[in-house]
Amino acid sequence: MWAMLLLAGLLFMSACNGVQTGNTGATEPEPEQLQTESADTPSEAAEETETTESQVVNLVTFEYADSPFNKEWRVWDYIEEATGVQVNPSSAAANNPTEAYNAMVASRDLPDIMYMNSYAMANRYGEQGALQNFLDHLDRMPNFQQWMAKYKELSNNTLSADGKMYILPNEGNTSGSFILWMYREDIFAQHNIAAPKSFDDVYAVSKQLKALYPDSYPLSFRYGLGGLDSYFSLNFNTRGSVYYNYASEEWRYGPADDNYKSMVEFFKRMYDEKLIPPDWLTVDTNIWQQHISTSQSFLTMDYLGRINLFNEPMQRENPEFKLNWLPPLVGVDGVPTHYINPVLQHGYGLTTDAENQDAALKLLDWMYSEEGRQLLSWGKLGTDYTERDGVKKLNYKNVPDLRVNSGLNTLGTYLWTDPEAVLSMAVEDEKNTFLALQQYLEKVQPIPPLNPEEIEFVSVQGEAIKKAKEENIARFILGTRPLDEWDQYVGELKELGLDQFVAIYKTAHERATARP
Amino acid sequence: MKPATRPGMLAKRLFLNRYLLLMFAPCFIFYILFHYLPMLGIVISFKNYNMYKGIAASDWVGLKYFRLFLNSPDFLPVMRNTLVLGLCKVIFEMPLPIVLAISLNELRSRLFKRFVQTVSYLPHFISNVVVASMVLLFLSPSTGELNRLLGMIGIGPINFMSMPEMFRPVYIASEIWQHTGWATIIYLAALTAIDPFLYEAADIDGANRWQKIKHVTIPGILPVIVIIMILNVGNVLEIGFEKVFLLYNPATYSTADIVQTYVYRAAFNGGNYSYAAAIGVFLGVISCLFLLATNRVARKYGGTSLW
Repeated sequence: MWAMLLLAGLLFMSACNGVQTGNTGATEPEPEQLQTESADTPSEAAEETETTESQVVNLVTFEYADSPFNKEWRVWDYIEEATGVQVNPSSAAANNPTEAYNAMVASRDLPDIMYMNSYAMANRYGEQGALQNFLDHLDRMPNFQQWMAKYKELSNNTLSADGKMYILPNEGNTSGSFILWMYREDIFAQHNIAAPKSFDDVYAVSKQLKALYPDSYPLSFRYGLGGLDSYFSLNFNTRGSVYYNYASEEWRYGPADDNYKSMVEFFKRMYDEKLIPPDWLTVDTNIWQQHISTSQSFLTMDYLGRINLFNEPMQRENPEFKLNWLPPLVGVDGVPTHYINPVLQHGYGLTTDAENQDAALKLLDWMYSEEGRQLLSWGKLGTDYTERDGVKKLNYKNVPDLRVNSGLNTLGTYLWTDPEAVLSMAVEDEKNTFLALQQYLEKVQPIPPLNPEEIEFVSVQGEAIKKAKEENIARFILGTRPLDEWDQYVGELKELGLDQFVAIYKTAHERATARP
Repeated sequence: MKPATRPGMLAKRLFLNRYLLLMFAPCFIFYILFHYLPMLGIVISFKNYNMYKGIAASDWVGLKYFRLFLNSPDFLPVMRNTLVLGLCKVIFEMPLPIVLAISLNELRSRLFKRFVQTVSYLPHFISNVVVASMVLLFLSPSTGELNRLLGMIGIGPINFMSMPEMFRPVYIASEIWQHTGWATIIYLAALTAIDPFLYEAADIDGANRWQKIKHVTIPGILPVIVIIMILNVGNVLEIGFEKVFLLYNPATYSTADIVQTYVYRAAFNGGNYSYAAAIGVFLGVISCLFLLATNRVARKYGGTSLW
């Protein structure tokens, strides 16, 4: 009989185990809710002597794979010392915190502040009641008020459809997100080929290279259709979806533009003549890396940081290997085009149930002070950076090194950053690239916040439009649908509600700019 | 015999079978907790689920999300794709395990039989992500094996994954490869249950191999075939999201976009759980109807049914 009971118990436990292992994702355990009844906990060595008591602020953020969250990082000590606030940080997920955060909101198991990665996410949580409106607390955030006056547009971008600020704006840490043209300088030099300046050049150069290297696909890029939209569309003066055209001051839908058609024509030509890989639709990061490193491709468009990521290891085997960047190509209308000016939609939100609001607001406000900015970008003199003749230089080799060893520049530890810090680690070439790039960056696109009805329309009709667009653009390039049917395709999009779709963004934008 | 309905009888029967019930208890609790109780969550498909306020405090919206789904322009193509892919799965994945089981049953060498069985059901344990990667690599027009072989007989490289008409064959083929061995196990078990005297009787009547298969083996496992078919038809709409998601791309949306991938893009990405739940309930109701219809048909024409 006892054997029966034991068997039953074992079966039950193994069943429970089976359920748990069904959960995917590297989610950390949820933050413990420390119930601090009294605020008389002894403080760390506080530089400000305004408050001798420290309160614990529960902080939840997420992490990138190259710098797993570490509670022992120096950066948390720096924050505690400088603000007098004790921080209890933890990480909810790797890469994409959406599911973990959804679970936290639904189970009401929220920290005091949480670091989010999209304004839409913050607005959603705010609208449902989980986050507070920072504009109600400006009286307790003097540094932030000053910052807002200086960076008006960035601050306005974070506002929700009804003018509330559920997430704090950030500035200064977008250098990792620049996308630009890259080419194999050594191969071009070897064959005396000039770097391309226009898309016609790209075509001509690719043909030359294909003749020299018949097995190659001179132009390669990742993410298929997404790559077209994220990387190349700007060089054709259009976008992959709804965008604001500053020149004509109107909202447009990129994939219905004539310029977009030119881009499709270009890629169709490249595909037909085998100048791009035949499986361009499904090329992912690994395959693309293979193309570049095995010299199967010589031209691409991707993130600035990739240049070094290729050059360093490849030059160990082949010292000639050199990937270099190009300025944006001359566009279809003959006018020089721009590179994307990335907007990082990261920031902190203050939860409704936050217990230590004063401490949390103090902490967040400090991040907008000059002192906070310097400490969180550079760290401490000696430990993290050196200063010689007034020039500061970080003691780390590169960004991953900086993140793993100190915690600086990791998710959740910055709002206002000094880009000079990361730049100080770069080799001369990269530094010059970064500085030279600035003139080519486009004006930041407005991000008008949508109200719940608009969001619903976008998620259903918008999804249908997106699907029709993707399907048809793929077909046009692959040749399964003739390009003369372009106008028909635009008509099909309109039937799905394209005009209404664009009008939503126009209304939302006017609503946002009409506010004082 | 009078049914044991007197009050004391139930308690007595429970007590007599207490060990069996104890063994059943964990399973029972598991199903109640993880399958039946969560069904109460269906209510969020009728509400505008506010994560923070919770299920109880969210507002009722009635059939709004159902109507949203039925009126969306993607509804018909997506439902059609799901139904067609599901039916193809049922039709093409049913015969092979039966054929394989019967063939294995005819083998004389037990070692060879065991070997084939093991090798054939191993792919079942490979994760969908790995299988999808393998398919993509194998079919790649630039580096894939299949195109290399086709190239040797002069057929140009075919870009399989970008052709909507090739999506279903590729998907079904990978499913057959992955799951046939596993499904064979059930039929093999059913085959061992056929009375060997029937085979002897057939021998005496002078039946050859094929006739034995046709008149003894197949009728012997027919009830199992019918039941599995009923279950499969009930699952026609429950196509696994993973593999379709990994194998599809915009060029193949017209045949590859099924309800599950649509829900992922339209509902989950935006956190619209009510919409996703409504679509799920809709699918569940249809699956239920399919199940009832198939059961009725099977009972009428096949003699076997689930209930």
